[in-house]
Amino acid sequence: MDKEKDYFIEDLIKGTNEFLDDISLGGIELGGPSEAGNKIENEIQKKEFEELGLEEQPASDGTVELTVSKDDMKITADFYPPSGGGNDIDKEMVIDELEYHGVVFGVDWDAVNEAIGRCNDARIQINGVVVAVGQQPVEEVPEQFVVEDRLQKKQGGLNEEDSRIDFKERTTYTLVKKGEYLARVVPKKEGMLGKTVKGELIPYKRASVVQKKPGRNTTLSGDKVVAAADGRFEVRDGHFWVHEVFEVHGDVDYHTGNISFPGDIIIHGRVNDGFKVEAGGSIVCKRTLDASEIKYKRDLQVYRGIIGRQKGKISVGGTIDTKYIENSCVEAEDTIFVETGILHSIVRTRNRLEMAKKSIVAGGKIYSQNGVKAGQIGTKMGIKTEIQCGVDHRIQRNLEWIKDKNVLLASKLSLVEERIKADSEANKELISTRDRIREYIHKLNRAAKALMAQLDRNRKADVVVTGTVFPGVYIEICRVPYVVSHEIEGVRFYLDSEKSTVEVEPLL
Amino acid sequence: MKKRVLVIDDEEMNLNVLKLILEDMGYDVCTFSDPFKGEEEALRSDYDLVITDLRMPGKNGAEVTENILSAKPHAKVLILTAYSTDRLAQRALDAGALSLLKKPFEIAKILDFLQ
Repeated sequence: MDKEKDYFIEDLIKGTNEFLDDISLGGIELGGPSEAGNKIENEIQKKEFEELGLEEQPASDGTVELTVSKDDMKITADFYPPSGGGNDIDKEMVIDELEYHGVVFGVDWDAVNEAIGRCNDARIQINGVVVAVGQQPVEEVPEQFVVEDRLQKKQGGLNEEDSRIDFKERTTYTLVKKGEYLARVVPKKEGMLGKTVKGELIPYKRASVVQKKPGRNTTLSGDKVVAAADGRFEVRDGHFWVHEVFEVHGDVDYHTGNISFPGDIIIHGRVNDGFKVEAGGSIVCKRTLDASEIKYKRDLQVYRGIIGRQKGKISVGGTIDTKYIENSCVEAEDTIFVETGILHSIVRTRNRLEMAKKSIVAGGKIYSQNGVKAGQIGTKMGIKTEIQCGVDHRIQRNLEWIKDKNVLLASKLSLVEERIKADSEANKELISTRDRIREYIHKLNRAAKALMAQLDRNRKADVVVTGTVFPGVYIEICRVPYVVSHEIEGVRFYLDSEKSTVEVEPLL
Repeated sequence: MKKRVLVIDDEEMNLNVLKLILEDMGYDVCTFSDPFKGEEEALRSDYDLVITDLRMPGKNGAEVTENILSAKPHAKVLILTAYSTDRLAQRALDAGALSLLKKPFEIAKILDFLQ
């Protein structure tokens, strides 16, 4: 039986192919391969029915069925061919159906006629023909300033997905020249009503556009906004503007004196030992910062490194981006990026310390609220290196200050008490001093207790070491300690809040 | 009832400062400059927190910690040290000390375990 079935199928395929060959050889014009295919299928179907011994269906006329989409925006039609000598589908049938469904707009008569023709000629059922489409409303777009794409690039280099930093790609500043094109005015675009296939009007919406308005050091020229000064371009909080930049074309030294400028500063040379630079904006230093006292409200970028000789103090309101930090005291409100190393320095950040893969932290203390990523921490020599994370270093420093004052007051108090003890007739002044010291200690203690509530900032802070971490390194996350007692490679230190321990896990 | 703190440190000045500050904060503070006597007291009475120096003559803070915690496993012990990477500090932490306090003291850590 199976052999007979196989033979039947083979015969069918062979016959079909021969039939196809006949058509192509004979050059018969059938209006396209799909139509030819349909004819073949119909013949095969007819043959199959004959072989199965089934009788032909009784006569029935061709029909059209319409489907209206829920939003009245699209009509699709299924065309059923006549059979057994029934009447073909005609255009009137379709018109009747459209009228029945209340369709008055957007009918595609070409699609209707084409489907009718194919259905009648090839005697095939055609489904899902889109025969009418409504018109979508067009949003009204208000007039807006569109900032040039090249100026909108974010700081490069930090790959959010895998947290790798390409230090070569990182750029902090977008500098523009006076007269440079910054943005263009795009006029208001009127909205347009939409219409359903049943003729109902659809109101249009007003596009929500994040407006960016031109600000300081910009000027309107025709339909363009251009820079009115050389400087650093910035887009923030719905405005764009140009910070005027102060450029120092050599070193900051006795020729320039100390510098204080309300905007950004670009120093093409180095900042020499002992000089003070204050900026209301950000700073780019193209060489080194040497033992300087520096205060910036925004970011600091040092192309080479920061060398403090244990005297320099750098305090920045934004990020710091540098190659290395050596014997310095550095503090930033935002992330500190360091490419090669931090040696014998005190580094504080209220965000993270992000270092390159082959970087090293050796000696000193790192206070990093949201954690650290470094290549190597400590050295084989067991150099003392302390990393503290998870706490707000400013609160911690205030607590330190309170402790120092308390220690001082306590030692004074014991002296005063000794004198009072030795002299049974101690004068009122000594007793009053003792009481005042006690009162002050109490005041400081109250302040310390209040500060405690604000100390912990991030219990998820972690320390990621892609290379080796050596004995001599001490890690603290939210005041929970971990003393590194042996060399560990490629690990992450994190706080297990339930156990209140610092745990170590290998990097994947 | 006041919480009780025991402080063991051979530096009298440090003991006095800690006593003064913690008493002002409302705690009942007992101090010992002799590690042997301090340990004895810790084993004899119950304290909410024991703070011990690490480097002391005759007996170090790691030994004190080990002895207290082997007799009283639920005792809370904090270690006072000048060097957080001191090998003895690691030994005390391994024995179950809760944290390290940098000398002369760190008030935040003490309050952590008393509040």
